[in-house]
Amino acid sequence: MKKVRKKTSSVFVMTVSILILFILGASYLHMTNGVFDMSVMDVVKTLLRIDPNPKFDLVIFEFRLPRIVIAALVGVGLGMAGVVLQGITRNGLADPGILGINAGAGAAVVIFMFFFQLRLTSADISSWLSILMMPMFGFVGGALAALLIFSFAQKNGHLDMQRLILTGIAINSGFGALSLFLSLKMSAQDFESAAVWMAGSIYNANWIFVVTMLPWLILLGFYVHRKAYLLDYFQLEEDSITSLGIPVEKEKKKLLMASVGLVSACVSVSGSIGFIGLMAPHIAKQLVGIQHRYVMPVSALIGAGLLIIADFIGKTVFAPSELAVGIVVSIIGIPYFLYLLVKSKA
Amino acid sequence: MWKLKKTNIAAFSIVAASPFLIAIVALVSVMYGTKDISAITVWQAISAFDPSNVDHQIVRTGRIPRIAAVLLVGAFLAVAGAVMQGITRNYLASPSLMGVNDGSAFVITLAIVFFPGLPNYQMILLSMLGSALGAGIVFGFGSLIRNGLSPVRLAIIGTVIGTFLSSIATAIAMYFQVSQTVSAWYNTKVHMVDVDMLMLSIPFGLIGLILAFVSAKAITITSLGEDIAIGLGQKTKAVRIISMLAVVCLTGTAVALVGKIAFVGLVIPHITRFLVGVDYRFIIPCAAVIGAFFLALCDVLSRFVNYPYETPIGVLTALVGVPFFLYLVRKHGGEKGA
Amino acid sequence: MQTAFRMENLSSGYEQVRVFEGLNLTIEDGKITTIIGPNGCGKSTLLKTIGRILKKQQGTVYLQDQNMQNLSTKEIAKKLAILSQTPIAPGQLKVEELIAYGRYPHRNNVNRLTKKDEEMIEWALTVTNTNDYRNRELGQLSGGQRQRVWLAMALAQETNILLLDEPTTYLDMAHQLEVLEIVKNLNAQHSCTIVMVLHDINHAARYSDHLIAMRQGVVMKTGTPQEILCADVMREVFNINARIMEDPVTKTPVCYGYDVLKEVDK
Repeated sequence: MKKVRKKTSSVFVMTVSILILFILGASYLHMTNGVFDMSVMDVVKTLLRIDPNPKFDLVIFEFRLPRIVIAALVGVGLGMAGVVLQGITRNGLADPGILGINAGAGAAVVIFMFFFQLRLTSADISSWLSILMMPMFGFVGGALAALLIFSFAQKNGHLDMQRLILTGIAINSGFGALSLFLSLKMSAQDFESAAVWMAGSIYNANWIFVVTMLPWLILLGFYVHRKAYLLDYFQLEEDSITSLGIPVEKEKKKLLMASVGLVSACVSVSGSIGFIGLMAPHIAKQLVGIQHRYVMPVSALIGAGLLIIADFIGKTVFAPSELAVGIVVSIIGIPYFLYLLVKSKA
Repeated sequence: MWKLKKTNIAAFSIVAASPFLIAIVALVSVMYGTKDISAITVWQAISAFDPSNVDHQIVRTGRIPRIAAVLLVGAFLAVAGAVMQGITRNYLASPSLMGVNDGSAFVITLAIVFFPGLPNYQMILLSMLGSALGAGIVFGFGSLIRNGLSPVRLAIIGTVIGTFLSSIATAIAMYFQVSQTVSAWYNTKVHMVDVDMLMLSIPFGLIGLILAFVSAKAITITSLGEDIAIGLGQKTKAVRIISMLAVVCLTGTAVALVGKIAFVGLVIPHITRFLVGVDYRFIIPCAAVIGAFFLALCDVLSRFVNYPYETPIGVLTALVGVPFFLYLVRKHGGEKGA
Repeated sequence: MQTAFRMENLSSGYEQVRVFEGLNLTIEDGKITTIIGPNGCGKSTLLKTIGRILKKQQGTVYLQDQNMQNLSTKEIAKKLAILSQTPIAPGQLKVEELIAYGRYPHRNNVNRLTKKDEEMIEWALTVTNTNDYRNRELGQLSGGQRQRVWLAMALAQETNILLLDEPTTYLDMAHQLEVLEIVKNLNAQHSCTIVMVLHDINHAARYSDHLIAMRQGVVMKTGTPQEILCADVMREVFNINARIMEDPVTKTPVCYGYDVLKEVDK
């Protein structure tokens, strides 16, 4: 037993290190490329505060860096939420986007934007406060969506996976229509930003957003990581888990709420980005096996890396216009989803 | 068959009542809007057209084309959905869930980007090509996957591929910087109906309707089960091809005319089957009129739900469609032939 | 003599269906008790209810004289372990890892196994004869091997009471006896209280101290195998005309043939 465990943990450490390097590499790419022409040396100098130039500072610290940071944080959140959802539903096709949780959180945030006439880039106190409230609104929407989905998908007291995904599709349409309806009621300016946001974009990234989601990400992220081992047990059937003395329903609900919270925090700053929660856990499991206490952090890192790269692609391939990162992720994620579908035995 | 007498009556009464109901809805649609126009004025606009009269202009160039388009599209989508559900024996088959709508929109986007300024009839043909493409990809994938043709699986594949095609289309539009025009095509544009396109869609759509009606009997037999169909000596391949042609004509025309509208092709066939039974010779005409009426109703509501602003008609069809969809899922689960 | 289980006025079932009600029953400590009966009689339901997997609808269950409702699920897990009928687990899971799951109720630190944990896992592997494939993945095992591994997980839970729901139903003849022999030894050498649901009445008679015969949610008779495996009881419970004799080797009653009762015979 000890031998097996040692092997897995060394694989884990190695994987984590490689992933961190990967993320740093992706960030480097992202930071040194963009509409504003800056040489690599300029970037390095600005970061290290050698010979600071206010223009460069603006580009790096107000535009590029917050954007990378948000991409990383959202990737982490979605990667972890995906692990939880796939663990709870025991199904590798579960993803907060497909299940409509994104759409629910998104609709709630649109409602919020509508009622609070939010200008997404200003920085005075009142808008600070209202921005901080966004993830909480998102949480209510996401929780509502999750509630609807999981209650509709019950069949004789058990979660039926087919119905779950179908219900997710329906909820996606429903909340999507709601968001569209509300966004059209907004003034033209707000509508522009809302439309871009709804597609899933990090275009408007700024440090306020980082502050908004960071506490939630840290809190819920830690909780979910600590409870990751439970997901191992959840792969057994209900009766076996109960026999071991685990209060199944309670723990599942708590984990589900935590993942909805993570998703909502992410959606509130970046809009609806699907498929990260689908792909990251799968790749993680290929790398470090099925023990969730290893899968969780690895999936988080993979999510971060994926999103940074996707944002980089969206930013550069279509220069000078931007392709919303949500769309880039869809274009990569959907073939992967179909590949998983072909491979799955369920 | 057993319920023949009853369905006859139901079907005939629906078809008989429909002209009146549709006329009423059409009239309401033309009369009320951002500006209310009296019935007499409407009549005059048709019979004694005065080009300098603003109201007459509104009626002729805006409202009548609009309600005409809505009625046609409602009928086309409903019949397309009915045919799809009959042929695939899949209670979730519908143009929006099986990537058909998205396929159309995708090809239209490509056309706008790479061949701007194509004549309308070519746009319709391309749109039909897109429908075929979308359906082809979805059903193709479905047959690759184990149990992939089951209702649920197919719906998932259809939605996912639909989203994929949408995403690529958006990316292409953005790359070539034509996203404005494209989004105009994507989000339904009932209020900007191109009259020329409207005139063209009548013959194209009619072909689709005729094809559908001609295969109605064969569709009924197919919907009863693969084995039964073969046992009765039906040429399943030929039936499939003709009905897919019908679907492609109908959806291609609909999307070219007003963009993507979801749920009509899903919901209306179920309601129709509930009312008139399982014989597609009755289902197809009834679905057409019920679909027309339903969409017209949605259109009227879409103008008043958020007065004085317009709500996209997709929101209203979703309002009805989503709960209905959930109900269907709850009732039928994932089995085939449900 | 302490009772392992005492049920008072127990009623249980699923959603709309009540499978049995008003049941009063005791199950002795330190003995092997088997519940038998035709399909749908409620034997699995009863087992699951006393194992708290199924929520009871009415009445009380006392686990070693303590009202089960007052015990937390983890406390119960230290006293009883249940093996359900068709357990599932990811195919890539290693045998040793699955058995380690059984230690959950005793573990404080989820990430490290204590010496006691490792001891119990070794013991479970030895008793169930599964040491040879401790590092293999579950998906690579045969049905018989897998069943013993699941049994090992239940054993690793280190409980005095073991509930087994049809542990032999999908196994071939040799493997069926293998499992039952392990169970018998557990009882003989460790005074483990065993409560089983078995389909095969001959196995039930051979391996049990006590039998509970049920039919349509009612306990028809309880007693020793000799008392239960007799023509009258078989007729009442299973609707069969059974021919019973004593197995000369095991000295337990055996049904060597039977006919279905026709309406006219009743």
